[in-house]
Amino acid sequence: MRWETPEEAAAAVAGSSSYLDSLYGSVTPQRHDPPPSIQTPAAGVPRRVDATAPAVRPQGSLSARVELDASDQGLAAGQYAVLYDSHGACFGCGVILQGAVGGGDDAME
Amino acid sequence: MAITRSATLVRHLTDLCDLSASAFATKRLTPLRSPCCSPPSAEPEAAPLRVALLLSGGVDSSLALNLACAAGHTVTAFYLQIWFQEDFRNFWDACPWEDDLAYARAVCDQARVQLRVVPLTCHYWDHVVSACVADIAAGRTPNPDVLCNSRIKFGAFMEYLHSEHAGQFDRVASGHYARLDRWPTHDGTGAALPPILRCCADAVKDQTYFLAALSPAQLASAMFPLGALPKASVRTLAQAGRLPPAERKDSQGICFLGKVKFSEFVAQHLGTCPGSFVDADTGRRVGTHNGVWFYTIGQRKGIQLSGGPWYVVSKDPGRNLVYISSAYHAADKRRSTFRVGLFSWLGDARPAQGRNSGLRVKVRVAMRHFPPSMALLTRASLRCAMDQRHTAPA
Repeated sequence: MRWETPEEAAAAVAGSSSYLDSLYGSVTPQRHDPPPSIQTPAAGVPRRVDATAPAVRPQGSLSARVELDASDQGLAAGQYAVLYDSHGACFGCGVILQGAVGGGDDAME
Repeated sequence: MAITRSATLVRHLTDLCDLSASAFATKRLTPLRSPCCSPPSAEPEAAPLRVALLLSGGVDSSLALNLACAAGHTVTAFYLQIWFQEDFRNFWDACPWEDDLAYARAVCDQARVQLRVVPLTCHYWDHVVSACVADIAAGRTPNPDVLCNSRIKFGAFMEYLHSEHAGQFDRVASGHYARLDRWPTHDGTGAALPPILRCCADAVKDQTYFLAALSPAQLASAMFPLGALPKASVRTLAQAGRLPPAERKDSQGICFLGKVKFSEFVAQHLGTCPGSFVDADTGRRVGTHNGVWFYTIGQRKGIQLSGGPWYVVSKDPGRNLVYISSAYHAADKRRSTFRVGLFSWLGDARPAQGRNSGLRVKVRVAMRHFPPSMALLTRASLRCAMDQRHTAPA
C-alpha cells in the first residue's frame, strides 16, 4: 500500500472510520455511560443509586492554555493531558491540540 | 491448601498494613467475615457487592480478583477477547489469547470463581484501532490505552453486561493501579456523591492517566482493588497466595500492538508516503522519510542521517514534512506551554485557573526507568478561554 500524498492516505483512513467519528469523534475522549443494570452503591450505604445521570460531555469550543513549570520536549498533538490537584485527585483530561505547543509566554497567543 | 494460601495472604496483607496503616485503614476491616483482610480499595465495608471483574490472566488482575473475593464480594470474572481481526493474525505473530486465557482459567479455578469469555475484538477494532490509525495518519499521537478503557473495558463491556446480564452487577473491577475514594454520604438530593479518582500508592505504576477519560457514571461503577498497593507488594502477595501468574512477566507496550512493532503496524495500515526531513534550525532539506506517521515528537530512532543525532521537533502532516534538529536540547527547543481542548471531566470539580493553583499535569505515563521522584506530575498553571481557533485537533 502506498499513497501519493498524505491527504490521500488520511482520506482513505478517514473513510474507513467515518461512522466512528459520528459516534465518538476521532480523538474526542467521549465515553460510554454504563447502562441501568450497573448501579452504584455508596461506600457503607446500602441504598443503590442509578448511575445513568447524563455525563459531562467534552466542550468542543473550550480550550485552555497550560503552562508547565518545567520544559517537556515530548509534547505532541493528540496526547492526553491529565489534570490533578496538588493532592493527586484527578479532574479529568483534555487533548493537546495541533499547532499549539510552544516554548515561551507568547507562543500560544 | 486453600487455608494455607489464605493464611499466607493474611500475614502478608497484615505486614503491608503495618507498613502502610493509612492506606489500608486496618481497623475498618472485618477479617472474620472474609478469609483474609482486604484493602479499602476493594470496598469491604460495602460487601457483598456483585462484581464483574476484568481478568486478563496477568498478575495484577489476578490479585485484584482475589482481593475482591476476600472483601466478601460475589465475583464473576470476564476475559475480554481483544485482538486483531482474524485476517491480521496472518501477518504477525500469534496473539497471546491462548496463553492469557489459560492463566485466567487457572486463577478462576483456584479462586472458585466463574469465568466468562466476551468476544470484543470487533468493538476494539472499530472503536480503538481505527481511531488510532486515523490519528496517526493525521500526524497526531493517540493513546490506545486511554481509548480502550473508556470505550471497551468500561464502555462496550458495560453494554454487554446490560445486554446479557442486566441488573446482575454493581461494579466493574479491574487490576488498574488507581485509587477511588468514595464518600459515605449523599448530597441533598439523595444522590451519591461522585467518587474521586486519585493517584495510587505506586507513583511509577500509577495508571490514573489511562482512566482519566472515563465518564462520571463509568467511574461510579468502577472498583480498583489494587489502589493502595505498590507493584512490589502485588507481586509479593501473588507469590504468597500462589496465584498461577505470580511469576509472569508484566505486559509491555501499547496494548493492541502486543508483539508487533509500531513501525510495522503503521506501515501495514498506512503504507509509505515519502517526504522531506527539514533541518528545523536552517530550513534546509536534509533527507527523505517514508511517511510523516512513522515519527513522533522527540523521536531519535529511525533518522539515519549524518551530522546527528537528530530528533524530531515538529511535523507538518499537510505538507508531509518532518522537522528535525541536531540541537534538540538547546534552549530555543524547550517546550513549556501548550493548548488543550476536548475536555473530559470525571466529576463536577474543575481545576482552578492561574498560577499557584496547585494544578499538576501529566502528559504521559511514567516509564519504568524513571525513579519514583519523577512521577511526571508537573506543576502547571491553566488559563481557560472560549477559543474558536483551536476547537479541534486539526
